[in-house]
Amino acid sequence: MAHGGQESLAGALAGALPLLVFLSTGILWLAMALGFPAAREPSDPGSGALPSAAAALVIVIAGWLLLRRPVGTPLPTGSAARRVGLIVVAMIGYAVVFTGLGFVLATTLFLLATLINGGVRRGWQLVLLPPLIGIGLFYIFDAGLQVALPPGPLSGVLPS
Amino acid sequence: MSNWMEGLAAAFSPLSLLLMAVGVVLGMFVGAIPGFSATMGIAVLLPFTFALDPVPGLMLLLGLYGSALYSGAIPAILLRIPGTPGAAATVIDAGPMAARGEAGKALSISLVCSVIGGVIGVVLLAMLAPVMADFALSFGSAEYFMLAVFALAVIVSLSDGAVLKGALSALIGLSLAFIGLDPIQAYARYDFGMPQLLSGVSFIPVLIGLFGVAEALVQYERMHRGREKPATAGSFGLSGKEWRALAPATWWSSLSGFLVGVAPGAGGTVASFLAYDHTKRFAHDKSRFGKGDPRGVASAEAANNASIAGGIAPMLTLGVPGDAATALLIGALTVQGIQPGPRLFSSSPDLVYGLFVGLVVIYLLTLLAGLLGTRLWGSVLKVPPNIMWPVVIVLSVLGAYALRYNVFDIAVMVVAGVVGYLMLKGGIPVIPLVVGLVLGPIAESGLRRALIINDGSFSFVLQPVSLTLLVLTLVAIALPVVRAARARNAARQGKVARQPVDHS
Repeated sequence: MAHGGQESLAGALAGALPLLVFLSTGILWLAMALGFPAAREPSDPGSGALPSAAAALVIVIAGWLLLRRPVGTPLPTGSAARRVGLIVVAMIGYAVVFTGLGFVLATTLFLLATLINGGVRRGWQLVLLPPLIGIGLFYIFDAGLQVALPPGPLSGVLPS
Repeated sequence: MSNWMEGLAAAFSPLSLLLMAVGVVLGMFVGAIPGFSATMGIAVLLPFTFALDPVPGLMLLLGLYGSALYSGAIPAILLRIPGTPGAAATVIDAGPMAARGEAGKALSISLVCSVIGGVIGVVLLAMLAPVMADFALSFGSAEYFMLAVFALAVIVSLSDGAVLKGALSALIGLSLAFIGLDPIQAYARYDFGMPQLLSGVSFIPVLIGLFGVAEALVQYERMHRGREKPATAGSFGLSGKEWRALAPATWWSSLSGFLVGVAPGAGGTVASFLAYDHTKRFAHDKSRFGKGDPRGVASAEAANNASIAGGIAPMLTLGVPGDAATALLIGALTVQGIQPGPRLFSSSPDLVYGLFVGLVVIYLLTLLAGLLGTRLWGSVLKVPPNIMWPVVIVLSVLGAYALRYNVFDIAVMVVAGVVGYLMLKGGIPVIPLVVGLVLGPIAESGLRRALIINDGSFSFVLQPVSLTLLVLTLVAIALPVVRAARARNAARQGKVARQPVDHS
C-alpha cells in the first residue's frame, strides 16, 4: 500500500513538474513582455503583443492542467535516479571543460564517467574506449570534416 | 527538362552516391535499435553535413531517414518493439506472424512494401511539388501567417488525448521563438544581456536536446533492465500468389500514406495506423487482422515510408515542417544558407530535383541493403546500450557545438534535453514545441506585416487562401472537441448500460 502511495506521488510529481516549469516561464515571459516598447507604426501590434498573448495562454493552460492534478510516468527513484542525475551533471561538466581541456581530454573524461555510470566494469573497455572514441571523433570532425574542435593542452601533442 | 538533368547530375555525383549509401547503412542501424528514432539519427548526424555541399549533405540525412523508417520494422517483427514510432502499426500483425515462425516472411514483406511505398511517395512528390510551389509563390505575409496558424492547429489537434498539453507545448515553442531581435522593430527580447541570444535560440541545439539527450536520459533510466530475446526468422520467401494478394493494400496505403504525410504533424505513425485501419475496413476477410495477416504489415509499412515524401512536400514548397524530421532537414538547409520555400525550385533546381532522384536511389539502396543484410541488421539489437548511449551524447554535443563553435549552444542542448525528459515524463508531446519554434518567426512577422499593410485591419483573413486556411484551422480545432464529446457520450452510455436495471 505504502509502495503504491509512493508511486502515485512520483507520478503526480512527474505530471506537475514540467507544468510548473512552463508556468514559471509563462509568468516571467509575460512580466518581461509588458515592459517591451510600444510600436512605432500605429497598425503594428508591437514587440510585446504576441509574446504577451502567448505567455498569458501558457499561464492559463499550465495553471488549468495543474489544477486537474496531472499524473505522469513516475520519475525514477534509487539507482535509476542516480544514473539520470549523474548523466545531467556529467553533461554540464563536459560543457564547462569542453574548451579548456579540449575535445579529446574532455570527451575521454566524459565517456569514462558515463560508461562507469552505465554499469560498464570491464577494465579494457574503460581504459581503451574513451580515448579511442575521443581521438577518433576528433580526427573525423577536425581533420576530415573541417569542423574546428578545441585541441586544449594536447594542441602540440596530437599529430595533425 | 534541364532541371531534371541538374538533379540527375547532383544525385549521381560520386560523393552523393557514397553519402546516400553511408546514410542508408547508418539508418539501418538507427531504425533497428529500439528507442533510436530516425529524427534522433538525423539530429546526431547533422554536424557531419555542415562541411559538405548542400546536395550531398541532404543525401546523407535522407539516406538515414528513408532506411531507418524501413528498419524500424526489424525489432517490431523480431522483438515486438517498434524501432521507430512509425513501425508501431507494423507490430499488430508482424508480432503474431513472428510468433508462428513467419518472422522472415514479415521481414521480406516489410522491406518490399517499404520500398514500393517510398518510391510511390517520391513519384507523387515529384509530380505535385512543382505545382504546389507555383501556387505558393503567390503567398504573402497574410497567407504565411494563416499557414503557420493552420499547421500549429493541426499538430495540436493530433496530440492524441492530450490536446491541451499539445497546445501548451506549441505555445512554449512560440515563446522560445520570440527570443532575440524582433522582426519589425529590431528590439532585443528575452536576451538576458547575453549576446548569444540576440539572434534567437538556435533550434538545432534545441532539437538535438529534445530528441537526442532526452531519449538518452530515458535509456539511462532503463539501462539495467534485461533485454528480450529476438524471435527466430524462419523462411524469407513468399510465393507469387502471396505477393499478388498484398498488392492492393500496398498501392492504396502508399497513396494514403503520402497524402497523410503532407498534412503538418501527421507523419509516419498516423499514416501507418490510418492505412492499416483502411485496409482492414475494406478487406473481405477481416478476421485475420491482428492475428498475423500479411496485409496488415504491408499496408503499415507502405504508408509509413510513403509519408516521408509527403512530409517533404510542405517543407520544400512552403518552408513549413511537416514533422520533427523535416524540421531538422530545414535546419540542415538553413545552416547551408538555403531557405526552403517556393523559390527553391528556381534558385536551387539541382537540390530539389536531386532530392527527387536521390530519394529513389535511396530506396533502391535500402532494398539492396535489406536483401543483403536483414539478419545482420537484426544483430544490432545486441549492441550494449551502456556503451552506445554515451557515444550518442558525445555526438549530440558535437552537433550542438559545431553549428557556431559556441559552448553556449551545448548548454542550450543540455537544458532542452532535461526539459524534453520532463515533458516525456509528464506526457506532454514534444513535436508541437519544435514546430512552434520553427513557425514562430513566420507567424509573427507574417501577422505584423499583414496588419501594417492592411492599416491594422484583420480583413486579410477574408482573402481566398487565408479564408480557406482559417476554415481548415477551425475544423482542425473542432475535430478533437467533437471526438472528446463523442468519447464522453460513449463512456456515459456504457456506464448506463452496465448499471443494474430497476424493475420495481
